[in-house]
Amino acid sequence: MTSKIFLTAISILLMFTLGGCWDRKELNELGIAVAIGVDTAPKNQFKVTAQVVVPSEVAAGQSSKGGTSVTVYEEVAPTMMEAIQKMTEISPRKVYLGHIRMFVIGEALARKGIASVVETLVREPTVRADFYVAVAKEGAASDILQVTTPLEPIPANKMYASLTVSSEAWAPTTKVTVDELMKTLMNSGCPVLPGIQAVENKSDSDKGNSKDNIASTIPVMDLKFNGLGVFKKDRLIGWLNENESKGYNYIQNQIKESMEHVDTDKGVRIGIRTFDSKTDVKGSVVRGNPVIRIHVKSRGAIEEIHGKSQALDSTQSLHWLEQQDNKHVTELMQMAVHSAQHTYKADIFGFGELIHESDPKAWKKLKPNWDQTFPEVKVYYLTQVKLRKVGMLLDTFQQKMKE
Amino acid sequence: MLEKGRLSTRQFTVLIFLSCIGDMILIYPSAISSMSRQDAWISSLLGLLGGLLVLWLMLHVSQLHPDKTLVEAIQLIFGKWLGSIVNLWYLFYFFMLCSYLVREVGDFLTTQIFLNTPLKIIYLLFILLMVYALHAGLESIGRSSEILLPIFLLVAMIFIFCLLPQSKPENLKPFLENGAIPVLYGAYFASIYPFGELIVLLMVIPYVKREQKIKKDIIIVALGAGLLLSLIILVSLLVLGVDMTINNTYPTYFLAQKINIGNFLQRIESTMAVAWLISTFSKAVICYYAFTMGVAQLTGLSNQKILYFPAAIMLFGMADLAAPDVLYYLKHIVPYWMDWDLTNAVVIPCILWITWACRRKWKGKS
Repeated sequence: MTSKIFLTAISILLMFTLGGCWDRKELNELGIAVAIGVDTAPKNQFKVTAQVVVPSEVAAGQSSKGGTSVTVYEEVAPTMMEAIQKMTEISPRKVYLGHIRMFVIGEALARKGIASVVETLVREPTVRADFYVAVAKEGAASDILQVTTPLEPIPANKMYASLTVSSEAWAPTTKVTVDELMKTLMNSGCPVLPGIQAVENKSDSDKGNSKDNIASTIPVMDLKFNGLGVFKKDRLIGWLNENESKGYNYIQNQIKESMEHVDTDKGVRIGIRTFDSKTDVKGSVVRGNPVIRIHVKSRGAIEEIHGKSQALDSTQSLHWLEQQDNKHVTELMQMAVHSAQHTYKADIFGFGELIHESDPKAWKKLKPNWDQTFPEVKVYYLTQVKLRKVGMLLDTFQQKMKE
Repeated sequence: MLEKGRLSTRQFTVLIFLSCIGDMILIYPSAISSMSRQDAWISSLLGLLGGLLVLWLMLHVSQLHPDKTLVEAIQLIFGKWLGSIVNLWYLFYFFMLCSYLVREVGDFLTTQIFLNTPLKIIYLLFILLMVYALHAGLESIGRSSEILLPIFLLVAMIFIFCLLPQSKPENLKPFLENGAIPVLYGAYFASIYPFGELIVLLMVIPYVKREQKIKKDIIIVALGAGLLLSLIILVSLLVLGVDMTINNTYPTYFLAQKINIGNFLQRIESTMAVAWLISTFSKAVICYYAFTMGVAQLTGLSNQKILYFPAAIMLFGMADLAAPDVLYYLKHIVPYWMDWDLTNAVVIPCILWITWACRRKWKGKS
């Protein structure tokens, strides 16, 4: 008998809990943000930009109404989350951060320091840590997020995808997720973030004599990843150019595939595809002095030969080209290291951490003066490219042509 | 005999496995690595040895009076007055353990998933579920844990295997950076923290059907649970690195968010939370059972069922009172809690054993 009363009591109590559903989130009440941009604003405030998907424009099977597939909201507030919450003033839906793909930081803010904004996003429970972080090079994040893109209707997805593809197939960019960034900052290292730029293309001229010439194959604005931003602690201090960025990625073992070219002293330019690249970086301390050894191993294939005086008729000639390519890759890395050591004096390669890993005792002595020691660190390079393939042709026919 | 249900050996070992892991999945990585940093996994493996020793001691103590629960055994060995005081101490421990588990569940769910839901609603649901489980009886708890274990293991395995591609071995270097002392200190925590709290199972052990190899089975199961915990700590260090592991409120959940297999298998962290809820629930139910059973045995009630509801209300209150905020029980209280665990799982059982031995000798002489 008592057990029946007991069970009834429990079921009645359970009924109360069914009624309240505090955290229900209806899909049609959410504005799903795919990219967030942060800039500085006057009076020590943040300007936050959110790129929000317009569901009716991207839904499969539904005819689009001809609008853009995303819309952009912008707010200025003393804190980031305040600004995002404030967006409800303009947006009919609450901005939901669970699906962010890109986080863009304006250059001005990056120069002031990014640690606090990074922390905000990691602390926020609805945000997952799988998005990439980039810096709006020479501009504001809000300008980046406003650009619409062809091919990928959602610009944030375009940025995400082109960062993934270009870091794998072309090499001067690098993808950094927010937790990696936070880890580097916590280790008091110097992070590196890819720069993104909105590039204006030359268009119009005479409109191609037609209905806007089928609305142009070249968009008026393009989003382009360009160079790597170098940070000292959490402050942006400068940019690596394309070659230096490539060298950086070689050292960081982030290159899967890339195209290199070698100008030989005979005035011939050779295009080489690099793949299967693997870099081994070792740090050690020799008589109190930190030493870094970089060993790159990769395979290559000849893709292009521009010029008549280069023969491709023997293993020797291939071997000679191999050496040229080795020299080229080493130069790329030297450029990156030189720039980090002397221009920026920022240990972006994590050499300090490598020495910490290999010789913790010596690191304890080196650590307090690492900023002064880093520019003097000796770096040794060893590059071993193996050219084994020449593509679908053996010798170049450009030589035979002149006879 | 208040309890009429009987657990099979298998059900009992499953309960040991789940309670050993309990709430540890979420808080263990950051607790241990805040002591021994990147060597936390070594600590955890060393702690496993210590933990098995602790478990062996507890099992031995339970064999002093094989058909009596801990509370009854204490009454018998320490006598009525001293026994009652020690028993009150233990009951308070079971009660606090249970309310902390409820608190952890509530805080975890409201920080990560149910952001706007009041904490008390989570407590209410969780406690009502426990009341229901207890009302269904010990046998039902045992059987349901048998059903929940495969789900738990599946989720845990998915978790570990899906994170392996993201692991970076250099995160573990340098080995033994700060010498052996922090590692041993971490090992001490790792042996007491998950294993010491298994003392609550001494309230259940008399109701297990005796079988030949029970002791061996228990040790094997505890070994498995300890290895799983060590694996989780290892994965956490490999993928997140030591600083992120220490500084995250719930590193394991953060890890689960990072799972991404070919842009296809991703965003499965809520499923991961299920595994944690299963193990925490099992542990909390056992604590709750131990508490009500202990009170009934101490006061000589003929039916412990009337205690379920009052105890649930007390739990509901204590879960709220137990800690002012998250930082309090994730960071401040941990070292003291450890000492409490040590007292209850090692020191008192040792005294109990010695007293028992002395009494027997003294009796034999007279």
